[in-house]
Amino acid sequence: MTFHSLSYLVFLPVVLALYWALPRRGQNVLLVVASYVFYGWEHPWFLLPLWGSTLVDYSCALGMERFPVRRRLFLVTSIIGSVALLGTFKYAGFVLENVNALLTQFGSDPLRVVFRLVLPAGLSFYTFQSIGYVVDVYVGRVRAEHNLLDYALYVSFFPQLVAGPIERAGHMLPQYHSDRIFDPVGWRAGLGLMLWGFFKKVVIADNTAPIVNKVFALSHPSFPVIWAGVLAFAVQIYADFSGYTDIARGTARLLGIELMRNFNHPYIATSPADFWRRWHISLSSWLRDFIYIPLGGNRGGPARASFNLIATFAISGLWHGASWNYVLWGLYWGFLILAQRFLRWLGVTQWFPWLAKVVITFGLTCVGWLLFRERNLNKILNDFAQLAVATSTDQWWVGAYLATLVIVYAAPLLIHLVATSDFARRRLAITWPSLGLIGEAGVAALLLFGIVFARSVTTSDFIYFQF
Amino acid sequence: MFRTKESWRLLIFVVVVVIVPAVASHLAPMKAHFDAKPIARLRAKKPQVVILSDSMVDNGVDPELLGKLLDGRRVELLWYGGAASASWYFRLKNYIVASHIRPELVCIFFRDRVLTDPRFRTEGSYRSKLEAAMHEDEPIYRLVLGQHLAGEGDLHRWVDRLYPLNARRHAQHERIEQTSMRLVANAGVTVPELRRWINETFALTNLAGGAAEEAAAFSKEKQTEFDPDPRRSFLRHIVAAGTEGCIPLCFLRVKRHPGADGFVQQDEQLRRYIANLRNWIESQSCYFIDDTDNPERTQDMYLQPGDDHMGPWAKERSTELYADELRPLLSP
Repeated sequence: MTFHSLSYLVFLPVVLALYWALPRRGQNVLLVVASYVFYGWEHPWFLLPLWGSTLVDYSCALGMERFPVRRRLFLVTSIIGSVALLGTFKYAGFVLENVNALLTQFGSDPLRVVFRLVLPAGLSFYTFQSIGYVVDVYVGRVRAEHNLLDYALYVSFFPQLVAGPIERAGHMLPQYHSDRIFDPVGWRAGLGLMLWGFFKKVVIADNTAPIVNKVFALSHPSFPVIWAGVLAFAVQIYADFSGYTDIARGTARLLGIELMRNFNHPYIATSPADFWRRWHISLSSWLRDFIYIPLGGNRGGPARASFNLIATFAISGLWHGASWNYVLWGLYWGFLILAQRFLRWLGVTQWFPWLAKVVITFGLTCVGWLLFRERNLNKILNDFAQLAVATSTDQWWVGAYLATLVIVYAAPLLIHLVATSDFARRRLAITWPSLGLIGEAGVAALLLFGIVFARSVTTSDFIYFQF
Repeated sequence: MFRTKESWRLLIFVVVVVIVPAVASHLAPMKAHFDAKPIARLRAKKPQVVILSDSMVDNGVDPELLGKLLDGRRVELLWYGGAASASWYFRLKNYIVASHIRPELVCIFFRDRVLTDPRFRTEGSYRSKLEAAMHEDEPIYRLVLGQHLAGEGDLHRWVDRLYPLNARRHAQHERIEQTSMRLVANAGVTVPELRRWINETFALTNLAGGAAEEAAAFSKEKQTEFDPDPRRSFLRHIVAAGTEGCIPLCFLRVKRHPGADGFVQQDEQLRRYIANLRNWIESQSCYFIDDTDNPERTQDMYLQPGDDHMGPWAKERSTELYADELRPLLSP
């Protein structure tokens, strides 16, 4: 089931009605059952790897607590289990494809094995969340969860199961252990957040998607057309993914659960590192805590720190998908952050005003989005080889039209950016609670009207479902 | 649950959020205004032969030449790119029949299964052109397309009833696209020029391999058996409108892009469909012409491989071929 399906319009009210009529233990049972219904709605077999992961990691964490001497063994077992799950469903086909390419290159026959498994939605998210839990238990940041039901809820909580945020046990488990209070003010904020998320998905992301699809379907797009398409993708992926997160956080709030913030206006980032502090925050902080720091982090000198950084971003790229363009995308970001560190060391970065930094960072982000969206490496080279000077006038007009269309659809994002800026919050005292009942209802009604009025004629799954 | 003031405020919030967009949605106009200009044009021109079609006739028929070849008759083409059976029905009923000009012949140039595919090109950017030929209430429209437009399930229908504007989203998108186009055009080009460049940029031939195949497959009509059920297509209603206006109708199946040997490949199911379609149309006292097996319409007359449109260089020859087929249907 997806958030933007009409089934969810029935599913959520039913779950909410039952949920608030039950005591805490009953609420957790209901949430686990509802999460499994939600996740297995279209493909019931998706539940099998989820259950497998839940049981293995729950047992390993308990094992670590009961047999402290063998903690490392349980940790390794759990991580191998999670990596094997990812490897089987996500990377086996990719590895086989590359092995075959190498064999063919050296004149050998390719392996006659076909490996095409459907990737269960959200696998990368819940395996990372589970790895985070067992590592946290291993280092003593959290205690092992004894109640299987609560642990199952931690892994499968339906608002964030399919596309995050990748939560931490230390943040979620205490919430599942405590009583939840029906908070009407929190409900208003949650409903507002959900409507804003739906608006971003079905109005902004789904309306820019056809532009992206058309441009990236061209065999030889011109310079202005390809970059207008990349701009459209920058808007689409942000509206799509942050829209999902807002719906997830809004839904969780209706259940009395608080999920972490996953986005903080990433397109006003002033540097590549700042971008990753604002984009998919739960993944970047996970990578920092469970990959970068265990690799050594900033310790061990500049060369070692640079290697750690590049390795972390390469893993980040591979996490997004089993394809070389994602690895390239990850490496690109790693090198960008290295370059930024070098420029900061030279003292160059302070010469630029805020706006110039934002524009440069956004431009670099868009270059990254081209690597991310285009899977064919030859086409990536072709796209980068397009020169502005060699473009005919009519192509500039077509590019200008596409860019204008994207800006029109993205206008609500700009309004939201201004309305939630520090200036609006501090100087004008505009916040959600400050709007009052009428203001809140007015904004929410406007969002619903926008959804009814301008929702895309066609819709597609959330982009991050494929990861 | 509603014991506190905040709970009541939450209830007010929900009611306002649900009701205000519903009221606004009911107040908004539900369709584009009826465009009566074609009626005046038909009355002024009084054509004796009217051709209803889509972009196939752009380079396929020269109305002036066709008129000359049909013994000096006045010929009018009613078409737009992407027109299909719903559009032809409303143009026949609300323009040709309503204008009382009583042409000698109305000919519908169609491709393969389009006549029994009522939803084909009735949504998205095609919708407003369709609506321009429709009155406020069109019972036949509701009969044939009503259930599709109201959503595919009970929940969809319920949402569409609460928020009827939901079913008119295509019109807003078209408006946004046109506004963006005008905005850009203001900087120094004309809208038709810009539109042409956009169409050229995203032409099927410019798509990468896989995408082109996908688009071509998508544009093919559904593989169905012929079914004249009046609830499933506009065909029977087109015939009824012609009968009501005492206008002889001719259905001309255009020839798609042929192979090098001049023939169009057709599977057995399509042949059966066309045979049944011909039988039914002729049983309704209408004419049926199948241009598909016309050997004189050769591959070199077509715009490009895989494209069913004529090239501009073939317009004259194509018109002559159609004139040869239509002449026997008209009185000497």
